[in-house]
Amino acid sequence: MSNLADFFPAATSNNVMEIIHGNCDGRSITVGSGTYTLPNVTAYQNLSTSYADVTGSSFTYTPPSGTKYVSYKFDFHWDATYSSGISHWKLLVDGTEITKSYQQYSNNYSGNHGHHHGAFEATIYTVFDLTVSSDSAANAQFANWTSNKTIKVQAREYHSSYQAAAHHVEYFGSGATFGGQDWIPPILTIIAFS
Amino acid sequence: MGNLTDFFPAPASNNVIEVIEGVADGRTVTVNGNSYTFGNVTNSTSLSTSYADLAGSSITYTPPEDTKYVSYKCYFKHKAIDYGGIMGYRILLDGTVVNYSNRHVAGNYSNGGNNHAQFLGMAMFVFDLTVSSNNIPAGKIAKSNWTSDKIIKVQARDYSSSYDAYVNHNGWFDGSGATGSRQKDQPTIQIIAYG
Repeated sequence: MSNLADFFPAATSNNVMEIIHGNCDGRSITVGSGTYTLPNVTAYQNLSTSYADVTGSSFTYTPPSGTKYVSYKFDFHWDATYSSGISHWKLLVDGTEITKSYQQYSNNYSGNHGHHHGAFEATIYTVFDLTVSSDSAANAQFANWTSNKTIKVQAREYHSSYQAAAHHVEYFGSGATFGGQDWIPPILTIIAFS
Repeated sequence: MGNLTDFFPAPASNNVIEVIEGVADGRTVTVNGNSYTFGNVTNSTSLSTSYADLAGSSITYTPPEDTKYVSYKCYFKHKAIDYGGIMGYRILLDGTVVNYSNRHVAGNYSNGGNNHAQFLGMAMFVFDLTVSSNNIPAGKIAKSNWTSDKIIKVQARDYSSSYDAYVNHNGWFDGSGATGSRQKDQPTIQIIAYG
């Protein structure tokens, strides 16, 4: 006689509960915890010397029951609009800055010009710890994350002589743009781990 | 008496159907009974002013039934040869350019002849298979139209011959010019199918 386990084997499992992953083109993604509509980015964003929300970065989320960690990743195209584009980036959850998320991006200094040469893919990334016993938003720690929280990125330039942009793509082939499009939507990835 | 499923419930699951990931060193990865062989990059490539396939970026793939999204990522190395080494790159699905994948990577202008700029390039896109009709330039393809193999790959080129760049190339390592296996940098490819 066979064992019951032959017919009902233990489930193959892992610690990924759900992943919400997509280009910020307004698409809706349905996973176990609900349906999420990603932002719709249709233009690049020039930074200023004051912090502003980075388009495409805002995501409102309640993780599923049993979640121990929530990973947030925002991939975007960084562009040096003028000089080296020294720029500062930070992550906020429900309006509170996450101190371990501070990031600075820039390119080599090559004189005062707006050639847009310096460009690369950049990421703002953190992992929230839900295994703690008390909340510390500044440290990305939440003991009871049972209702919606909004995560977003803010950015600014170091100085008006060192300008930068998000989502701006200046060079394709021999033309300045590809098919008239000089921007590219960012990509959001949210992972809930048990 | 309860139902059998009360004692043997369906396993907790997530929306990841499969992940195929590997370095472009010629390896074969088997997932869910299907085998995928990655390219084998043995040298770096100096780009030209015409688009050409980025060595190691190509993968031939049919998503499993019930796939709603397919994520493709290719991580590769850029190095400036002339000035900042401005290179443009893009993803193609079965020969059609996905416009929202168009990017460029470069260092800022350098006229000192040093051309130090080197970055990790990332080509990435999440194809949306939940649509009812195809719009491949926007990265949307109905699942009913992706039931056999399609090739996903990256193409790259220099902005002009004055801003030449290498791909799959490290310029220096451990305090001196990189050679051999330290110079060659094989791309990493990742495919995720989501349900």
